[in-house]
Amino acid sequence: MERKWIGTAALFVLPALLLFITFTYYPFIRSLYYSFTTWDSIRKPVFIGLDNYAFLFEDRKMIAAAMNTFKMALFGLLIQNPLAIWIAVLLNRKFVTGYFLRAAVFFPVIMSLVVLSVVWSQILSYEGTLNLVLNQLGLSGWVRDWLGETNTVFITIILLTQWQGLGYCVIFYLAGLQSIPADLYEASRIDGAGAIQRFLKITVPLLMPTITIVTFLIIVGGLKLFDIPYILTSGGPGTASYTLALAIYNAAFRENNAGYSIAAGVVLMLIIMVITFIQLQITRRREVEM
Amino acid sequence: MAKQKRLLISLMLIVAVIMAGCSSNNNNGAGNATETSQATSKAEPTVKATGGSDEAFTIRLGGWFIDDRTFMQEFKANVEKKYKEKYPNATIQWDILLGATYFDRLKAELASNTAPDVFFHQNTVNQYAEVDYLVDLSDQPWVSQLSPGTRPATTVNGKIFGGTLGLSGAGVWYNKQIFNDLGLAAPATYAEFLALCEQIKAADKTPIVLGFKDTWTVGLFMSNFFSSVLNGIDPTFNKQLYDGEKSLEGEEIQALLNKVQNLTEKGYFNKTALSIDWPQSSDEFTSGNAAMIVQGAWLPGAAEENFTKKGHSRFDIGYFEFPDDNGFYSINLSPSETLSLNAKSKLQQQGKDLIAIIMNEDILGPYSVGNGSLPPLEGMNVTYSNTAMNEFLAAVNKGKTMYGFEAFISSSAETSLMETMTKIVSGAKYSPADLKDAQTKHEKDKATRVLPPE
Repeated sequence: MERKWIGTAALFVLPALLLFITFTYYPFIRSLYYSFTTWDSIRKPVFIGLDNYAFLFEDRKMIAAAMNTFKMALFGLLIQNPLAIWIAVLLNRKFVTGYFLRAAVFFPVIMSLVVLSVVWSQILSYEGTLNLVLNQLGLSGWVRDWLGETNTVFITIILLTQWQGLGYCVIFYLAGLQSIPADLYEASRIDGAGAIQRFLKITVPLLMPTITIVTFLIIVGGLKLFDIPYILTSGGPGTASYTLALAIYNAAFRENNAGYSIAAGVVLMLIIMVITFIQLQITRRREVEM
Repeated sequence: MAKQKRLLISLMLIVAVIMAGCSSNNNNGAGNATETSQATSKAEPTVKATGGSDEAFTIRLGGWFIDDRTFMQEFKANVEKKYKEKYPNATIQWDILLGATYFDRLKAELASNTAPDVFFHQNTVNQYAEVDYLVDLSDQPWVSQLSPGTRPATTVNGKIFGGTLGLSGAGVWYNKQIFNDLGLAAPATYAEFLALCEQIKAADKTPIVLGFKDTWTVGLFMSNFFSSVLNGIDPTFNKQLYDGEKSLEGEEIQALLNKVQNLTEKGYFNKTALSIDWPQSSDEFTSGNAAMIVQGAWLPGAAEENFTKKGHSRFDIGYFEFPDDNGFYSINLSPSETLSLNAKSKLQQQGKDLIAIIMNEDILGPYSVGNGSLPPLEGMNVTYSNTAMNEFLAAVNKGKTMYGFEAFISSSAETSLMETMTKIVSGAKYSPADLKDAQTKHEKDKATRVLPPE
């Protein structure tokens, strides 16, 4: 009976397995081979051993991109994540404009990235709205091309990315908060617990599964960041706003260096796997069940 | 048992449907059209076995540059009209994707046998011919008419694998009105160039407008800015760079970057240099806010569009190339868009006919005028309607013309130098490590560069 059941289950798995093998595993294994070659994605690849991997640690652009990528993930972890919890806790309260504010926080998530990028590039350009406002406020010393200077471009992109992704995290946390039974808070109030105690002893532990997921998404999203710097700055000025994903893309498509690009992609994958593994170990241990 | 059979059959059907969906369709001579293309609904070709001129079919033509400019639309209309005369029931499906992503898509399409039957590309004839993506067109009638300047660009091992629409150049285009008002003339030396920049800035105009948000404009500026100096030092300097006898870390490149840094520090570029793109920079130029722009020879045509459609006050445009300290200048001339026939296309004769129609004086004449390119056919005379293009032609005839230095270094090294350039224009200082990075990448990836023909 059990053997029949396994056979049926295997048949159900077969279509998905075929798709995965065809479109994921097979290309991945082929890619591993290409990462050991010099290949312009047109002519035949030439095997060069570990040269691509070795050069990753000499390539100033890749190193700068890696630094920026880690900054992005770290900022998401330390700023965006707590901020999202805080906003979710505030929005979880009942007040007149609650639904409006929830929609407002989530609004950037549903907007097209291209539209957002065009709007923000207009706002942040040298002759843009932000500088106009600064001039009106008498802060002309602060006026600059926010996306065109090496010392402001990446922090501007970080802030934009956090702004755009914040609503996504807030919605997760709101859903998590609403699944916490209200009577736990009521009981703790009767026992004399204050707001901070209620937050630390009830909200955080019971929200831990959501924190695990959101932290995972923030870290992976930060490490894979591509679209906003690609549209707004192409990684410039210089290499100031490169991320690893953008550097990988440019190596393949602008520099016709597909073998090197794939090697960088493999390393990025390993970085993501290691970091998220550590994160999941840490956060899952703190999860509690109701 | 019956239940299990039904289940098994259902699963097999699902798998069959999925596999059918994933398989490539090689029956369609026009290849697999992009889903968004307007002509897709008509794209199923009903090519008759006879191959006669009354057959109904759709032929795909890929390109990245055919936009809404008037001369481009005329080019499309002219091609369609001529092709209809040959094949009354044929439809040309224009697979246009504006910008550099076209080349990425084309590579993927060629690798997966879904590329257009006929397609435009640039600087990839050698690579594509090497892997048999292109049809040998040496026997085509227009080949004998190709000018000596364009023929080498599509020749691989003595065979012709495409037709080039012309030779394109670039340089500095200037507003004659502003120059006249300030009593300025086109500079003969770099010192004169610096002096006129100062005067223009003093008159509260932007001396040079850059649109570096479009990355290709960085490369174009760099190529033109470097050209005269490097070729002035030695006409074989670029080849020496490739051979390793000269270095990107050398004093020559450093001196050039110092000059760009100097131009930035003196405020001769627009403050929006990194946040505006090429069309916005051309707006700045044609609206009279900036006196000079470094662009390709399509600039006069684009300016004309701005004067007509955007209501900018018309002015005469002049041309010069950046001179070196001794007054020497060289102009980078390179083959523009190259047209080839896909070796996997089922519409071989129809494709050859389409290329033959395009590589004809009637089609190329208006295109060359609009695009500001030098015609690719011998004996083909083109009359440019604006004085700027005539100045450009005079400069071409009088000066040295060569390939840009970027044609002799790896793409990764070129990208690295372009990044250094944007860093400088942003106001930061470049460091020797930036040039070391470029040289290292050049040495590592040199094998990926196919040198231009001698």
